Amino acid sequence: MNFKDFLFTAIHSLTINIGRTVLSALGIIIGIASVIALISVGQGAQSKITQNIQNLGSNLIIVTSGNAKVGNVKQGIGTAGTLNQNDLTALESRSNTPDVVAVSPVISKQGQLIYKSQNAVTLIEGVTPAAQVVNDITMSKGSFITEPDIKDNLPVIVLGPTVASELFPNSNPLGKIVTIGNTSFTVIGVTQAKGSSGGGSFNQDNQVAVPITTAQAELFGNIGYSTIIVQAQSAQAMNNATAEVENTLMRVQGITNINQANFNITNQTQILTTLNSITGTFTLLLGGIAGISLIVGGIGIMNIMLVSVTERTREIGLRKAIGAKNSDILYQFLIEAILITVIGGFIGLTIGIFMDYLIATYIIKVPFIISSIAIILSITVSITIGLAFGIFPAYKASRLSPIEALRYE
Amino acid sequence: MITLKGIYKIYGDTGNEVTALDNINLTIEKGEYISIMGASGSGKSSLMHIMGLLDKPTRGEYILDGVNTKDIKEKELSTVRNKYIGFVFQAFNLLPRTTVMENVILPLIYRGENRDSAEKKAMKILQNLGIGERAYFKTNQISGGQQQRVAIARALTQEPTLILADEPTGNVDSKTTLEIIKILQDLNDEGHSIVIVTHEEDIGDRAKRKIKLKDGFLIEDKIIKQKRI
Repeated sequence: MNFKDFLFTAIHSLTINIGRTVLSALGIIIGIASVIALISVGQGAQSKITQNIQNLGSNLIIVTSGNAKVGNVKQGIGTAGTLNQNDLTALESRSNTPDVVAVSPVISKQGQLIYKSQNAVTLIEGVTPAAQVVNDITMSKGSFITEPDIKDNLPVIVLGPTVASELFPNSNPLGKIVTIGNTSFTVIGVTQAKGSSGGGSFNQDNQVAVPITTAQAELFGNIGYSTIIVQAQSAQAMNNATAEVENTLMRVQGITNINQANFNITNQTQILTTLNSITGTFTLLLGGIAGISLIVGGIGIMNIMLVSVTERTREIGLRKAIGAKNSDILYQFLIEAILITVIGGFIGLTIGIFMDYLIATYIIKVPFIISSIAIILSITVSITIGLAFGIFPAYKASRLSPIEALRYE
Repeated sequence: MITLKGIYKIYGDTGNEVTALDNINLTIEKGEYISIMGASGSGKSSLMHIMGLLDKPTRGEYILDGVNTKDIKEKELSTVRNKYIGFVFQAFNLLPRTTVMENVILPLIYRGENRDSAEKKAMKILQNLGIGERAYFKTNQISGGQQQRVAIARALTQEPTLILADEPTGNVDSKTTLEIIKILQDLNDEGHSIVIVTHEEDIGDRAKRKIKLKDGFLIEDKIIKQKRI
């Protein structure tokens, strides 16, 4: 018997019992579909996060001040505000930090903006003009904070596009006066949307910027910087620049052991690596859960194949009596099992890609990515499952004695 | 053509043995038409299984076409059956919901023959048996008599040395029984060797030689005058 005959026989037996075939394939269809959908959605989320982080600017080193303590309880990172003007000046000196191109000090707090009857609660950042370079900000209207604004503590404000549309749904915000607390600020610019939807601190569209000096004088009091963002010359210079920043700060603060420092240095590469490893683990976890359903599906196929062998005992006996070798029977049942899983695998693949598209586009709004790894994996896995779970029923069938089988009622 | 020498078939474990066949000696020549008769439990099924190479004797020798079947490996038994023995079963044993043609060419497919030439051969045989026009019907769409003819056609495509029919008329009505008997008689007239296992005297008398078994012993083996149709 050649492969064509085996295939013909297998397709024939599967179509005779189409209901049972569909039921046994269902486990594989669901398993493969969920593996594909979950892994692809996971990868979409990962690329979204990467994009969000790169939206912050490129080649960034983030220096945050240590944690403030209330009693013995550490507060959030950056709450101490222990980075000061001396640190900033030292970092800005190119002789200390030759691999650095820009330094952007930041103080920030959550606050409420009011314009007439509208209000918005948002993150208020005190920044210098360097923030525009470092955070890769482009303006959609007006201009960013300038050096004279800083020098003269001018009450001017740059709005993120989300804040702008909340406060000025129908009018041009430029030149309008908004108030924060008791201070009035003139709107001088609106930044271009970065399309960030990650929420939390990654959402640069939902924040506002004021001159750092104004923030200290009018809003937050003369506190230290919560963050200093440093931009390295290039991706290759990241490690050198990070070391330069660390050494400079330690020298300025007069410490020799980095463990005593009341600041943290993180660079963007580390953040990306960490986040990618988190989402990677998450994707793996989702894939693993979906993988379990694949195994359950495989066991379902084994069950149905075993039933099928029992049901077709007489057929097996007859086939053997008229010349089928043990191997002929083995291949017949094995090919049936593999055929179920492969067809189920392709159906699952189609459904999975469709589910991925729906989830990515409409529910969690991440880029729609078809994971080629997931596809190759699922096809390989479905063939393997067909083999692994089909071999036992097929072996059982092939070992049936023809007399017993023919006698079977 | 076929020689059975001192065949024993013993079932069960030591101490609890049942002797189904007790020292059977038999020679079958080409072109013979033999009926094997006996009540149920007489050993006729055991004998048929051994002759059909579906089972091995506990003791004794079975020589088929000059080959001692003891020397045939387990793996090759299927191939030998396919070449020498054409089975016709009481329950027809056709593949359900499959066409007549698929059933008839099955032994040839297992032999490795290609589908086209197998179908040509099968069609000729089906036409000879008067069911050519049913070739592409499903087996559950035809009558019991037609089903048994399909089973006979399946045995004939193999061009076997021996046609082994086990109660071939057990599942059909009396009119169809006569049709089946006529077909077997015609096949024997054409030169096919036939062994038919039955418990009905009337069917047994249609052969040319009658063998009777009782409790595993061969108690009668005689040439009879064939009751022809």
